[in-house]
Amino acid sequence: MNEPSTQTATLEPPPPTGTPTIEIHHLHRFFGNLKAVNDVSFQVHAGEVMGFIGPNGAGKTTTMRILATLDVPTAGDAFVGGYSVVDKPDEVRRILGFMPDSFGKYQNVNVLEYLDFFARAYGFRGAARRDAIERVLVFTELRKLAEKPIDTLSKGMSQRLGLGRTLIHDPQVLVLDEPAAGLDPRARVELRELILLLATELNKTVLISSHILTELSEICHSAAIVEAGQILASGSRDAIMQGHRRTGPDESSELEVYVVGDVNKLQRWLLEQPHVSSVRIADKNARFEFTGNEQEQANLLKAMIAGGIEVVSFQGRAHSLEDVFMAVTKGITQ
Amino acid sequence: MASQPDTISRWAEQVSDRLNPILVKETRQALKSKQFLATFAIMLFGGWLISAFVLMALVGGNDDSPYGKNVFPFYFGLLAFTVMLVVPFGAFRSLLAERDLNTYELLNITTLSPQQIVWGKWLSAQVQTFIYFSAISPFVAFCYLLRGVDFPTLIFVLVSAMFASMLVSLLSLTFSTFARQRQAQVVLSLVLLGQLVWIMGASIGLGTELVTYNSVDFSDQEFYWGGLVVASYYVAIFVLCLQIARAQLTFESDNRSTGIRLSSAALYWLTLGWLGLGLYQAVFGGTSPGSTLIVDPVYVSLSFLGVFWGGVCLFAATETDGLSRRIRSQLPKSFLLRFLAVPFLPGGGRGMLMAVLHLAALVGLTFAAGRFIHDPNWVRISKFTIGLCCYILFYAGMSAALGRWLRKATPLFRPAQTRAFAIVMFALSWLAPNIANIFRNSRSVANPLFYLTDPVSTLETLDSSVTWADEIMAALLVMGGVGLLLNVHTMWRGFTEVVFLREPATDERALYPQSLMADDPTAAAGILDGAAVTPEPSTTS
Repeated sequence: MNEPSTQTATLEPPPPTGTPTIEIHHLHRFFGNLKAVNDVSFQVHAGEVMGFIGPNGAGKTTTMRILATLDVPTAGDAFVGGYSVVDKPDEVRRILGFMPDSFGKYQNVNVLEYLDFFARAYGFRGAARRDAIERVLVFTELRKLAEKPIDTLSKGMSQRLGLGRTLIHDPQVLVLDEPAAGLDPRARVELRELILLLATELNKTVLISSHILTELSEICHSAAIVEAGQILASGSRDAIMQGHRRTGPDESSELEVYVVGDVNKLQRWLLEQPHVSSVRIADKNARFEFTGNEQEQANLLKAMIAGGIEVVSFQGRAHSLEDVFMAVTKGITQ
Repeated sequence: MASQPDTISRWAEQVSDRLNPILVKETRQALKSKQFLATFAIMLFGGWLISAFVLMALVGGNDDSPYGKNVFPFYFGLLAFTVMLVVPFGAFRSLLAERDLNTYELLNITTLSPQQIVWGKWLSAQVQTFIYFSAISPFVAFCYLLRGVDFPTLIFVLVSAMFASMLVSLLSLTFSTFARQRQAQVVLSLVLLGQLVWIMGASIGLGTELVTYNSVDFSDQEFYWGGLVVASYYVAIFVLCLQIARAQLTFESDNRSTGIRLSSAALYWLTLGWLGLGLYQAVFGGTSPGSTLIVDPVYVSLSFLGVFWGGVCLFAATETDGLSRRIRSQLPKSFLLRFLAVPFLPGGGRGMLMAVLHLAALVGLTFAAGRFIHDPNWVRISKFTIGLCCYILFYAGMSAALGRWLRKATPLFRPAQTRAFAIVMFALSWLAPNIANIFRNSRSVANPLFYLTDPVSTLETLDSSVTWADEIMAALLVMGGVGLLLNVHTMWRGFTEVVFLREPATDERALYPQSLMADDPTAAAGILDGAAVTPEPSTTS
């Protein structure tokens, strides 16, 4: 593990080829009548950050706990690095780091002792143990707090320490359950950068759940949206957004135009054009649904300028992960 | 050249590397904890206070009486308070705290095995025990100097207290593995606390008695035989507790049963071994001609064995059937080893098989012993043994069958519920004839068959009545046979699943512990059918 670089890591989705590091096959987990996880399947590759998104009670934590070998599936299986979580939990534990949503704090233990204990628990001895602790302290920038009792750490520092504990055995796969919950903006940004570094520079596979979708969309290469125990959409981030656009009710896309001058004139003009509907205007811009193809979009812009409308910008409005999430989920709670 | 502190530090690190990680962590925590410091302070302060009083009484007095035996109970009380109450309860709390502080799961996903977790917790309790013993030792030495205390007895009492504390700590730890829910934690904490207070009181009483009256006769050979019996049971119970605690912390799809079954079987055979040795001594060890066998110890031993084995059988036979994929993959390659391992592998059918084989061995040994023991009492003992075995077979067999039927009806019915249900069923059937008699205005039913569901009454009648003995025996054999017949099919399936590596049938899969779906058995079966085709990763590692 390296020291974090001062540059912000760039987000380059890795090609989805090769052996997936996390594979979930038709996973089911029922608690009596409650179908917490109901036929969930997806894959995550090395160096990929996958966002696991869903409302409360959707089955995210249950799926993650099964991956971390803390629970067993009712049916189906999950593989981490090729090892079944049911058949080979010991092997899975060696290559997987799990950060649960609550940070377990021992009493009367400082940061160094906490990491030392987990290093020992993962079988590190002597110099290897010291090196592992040192790497984590440097990576999480907790060196200065090494002697501080962990029950006096701030939430942000606790989460860093939690991440450090997860990394102590240098796992290939990281499963992070709501790691940014309760953090202030600065701590969230710092944590996000650490996670990005893990994936992009250290080639770790990261499965991360969060409610803060804007943040997830900034670090995730792919996403799986889950509700009521079922996957509603999964795949690369762009594919999900694209797929959502394609599956819109009228095959339309939303365009946005900024103009100088009278925006009402623009509205009137737009309503006369083919393929245009649902025009909504604001201060200096208009948003509308457009059902034409790219060539027809270009023709529309050309006609707009020719029609004397002073266009500042003309763009397809990007769908955010939040938009997709709101569109595909139905707010079902179990 | 490395300086001395460096060498010591390096040596300490090397030693700590070989220690259980939990031991290292917990010792660090304990030495910083307020609870340890407070207990240690109380112990030292208490010790000093007692010593000060004794010294004040001695100074200026002409009394030359040996004060040692009068003072010892106070020092021993302090020690017992710490090592019989504080340390074991601390061990109990230690595992519960892992759950309360959300650290248990973090511990669980490390590469530490459940056994290491239990050992680590137990060893850290022993470190504290050792410190408390060290702290009390100057006071005990002072007590010895006051005279009136026999040194070997003193050492014997202290060593016994240390071993007792070790076992009580492990029992407390085992207890804590059952306390998963908050309510269970509260109830178990109170129950345990009560038990520990009782054990502490009993220890103080016994230790004081032994020291005050010098009641240990080290020259008596029976003392060493008794010690050997106690030591063997100590080890067997220790291992059984360790296996239970380990099983409770073991991953659900892993093997939780074999360790418990083996250690239970060891305890069973240990009892039979000691019983056999005792009988051998009684029959061939110079018994005067014409004297009859003293049967009471045999009845007591068999009754305890019956209760113990009945409990083991209830737990083993009511397990869910079907081996997890993980256990199947770990089965021995050798046919012979698989054959021998069958009764000790998880599954209700195999549990029943273990019960039957052990009971059959007991009956066989009883008859075999009858060939050498030509004593009229032995016939009664043989009947008692058969009756006892029939009861165990009947109740364990009924519970296992009932559990299977109920699980078929609703998969929400799990082994724990089956066991609770079986215990209630057993208690009711025991009490039923006696309650019925209450409503008959003291006109008790005379026919002993009416009391057939009451093992105590029936076995007493079987032993004492000549007129009804045959009828009772026939009825008990029928009951045992029913218990056996209800489980023959399951036992055979359990046997073939291991020995011939038979794949579980669909209805067996529906009873698999992980199949918890309740509302739609058809859908459940469909899902499990899908699961039966074991998913494979894209590439295997």
